[in-house]
Amino acid sequence: MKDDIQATIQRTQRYWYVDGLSEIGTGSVILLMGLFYFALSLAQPGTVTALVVGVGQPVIILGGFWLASKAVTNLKERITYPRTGYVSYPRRSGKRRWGVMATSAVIAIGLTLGVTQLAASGNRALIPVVTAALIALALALLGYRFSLQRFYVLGILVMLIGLLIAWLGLTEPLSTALFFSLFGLCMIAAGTITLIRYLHATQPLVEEL
Amino acid sequence: MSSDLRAVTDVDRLIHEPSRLLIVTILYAASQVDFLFLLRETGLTKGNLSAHLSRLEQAGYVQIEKTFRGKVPQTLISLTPTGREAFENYRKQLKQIIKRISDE
Repeated sequence: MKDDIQATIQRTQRYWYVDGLSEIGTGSVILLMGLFYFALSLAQPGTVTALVVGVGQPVIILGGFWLASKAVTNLKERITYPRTGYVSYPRRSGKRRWGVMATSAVIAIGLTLGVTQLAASGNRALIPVVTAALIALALALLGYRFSLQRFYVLGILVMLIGLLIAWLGLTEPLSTALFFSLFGLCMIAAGTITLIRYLHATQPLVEEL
Repeated sequence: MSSDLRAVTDVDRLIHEPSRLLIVTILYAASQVDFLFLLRETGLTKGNLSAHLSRLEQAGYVQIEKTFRGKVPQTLISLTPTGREAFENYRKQLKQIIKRISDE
């Protein structure tokens, strides 16, 4: 009975991913980052380029995820909730919220330091592999948390992308551009397949008065 | 009555009923759900689900809010702090009972 209770809780939490919209939203932002780095690869190195990277990157990341979040919520109102119902989730508050933010900051700083260290030691070829491994780990943890197989598949795809980029031996920022573009496209594809399957399996319902 | 049997009979019978246990478990994992979601997830009929929700509302375990999403009526359900606490106590009691049985 305890397992059934936990399985039900997990199924309810997993509902956020039922339509694939969050993967499409996240994948779109990651693809945008990839395109940003592609544009950067075409620019002349210099102060202006550095300024664009310094300002543009956080704008794309923060602004992009904010916009994507709004778009996903809006699409869920139109597509998902009329079909399979509405769920809202408790927001983390107080210590838990600060704990998650602190952990995320530590991971981000650790990743940046690790990548910088790899670059300084001359092992640039390993950067895409290490980055891919960390993202694959995060996806695997997500897959385990919500018991969603497709996140494991995405993790494997990300690792393959990392290995491909390392094998190609591209220079920066082209290497990063290709990595994020392919990763973003994979997420969009996974989300789209999920959405198509969801739409085929469900119909809008209407609550009667 | 032995203490083990008493422990079993002492569980919250309002939550212990299988359909209501499912409803309360779903509500515990979310902050708010609508009637359609519960209908789909529980597999109950509308009448059955309404009856169980009424009992839970009378006990103060759930809060029901009737509203509109645009022009479409929507019933939103959430667990009250009392309901949340009752569910957590129920889970603790179950764990203790299972532990006692497995220790024997």
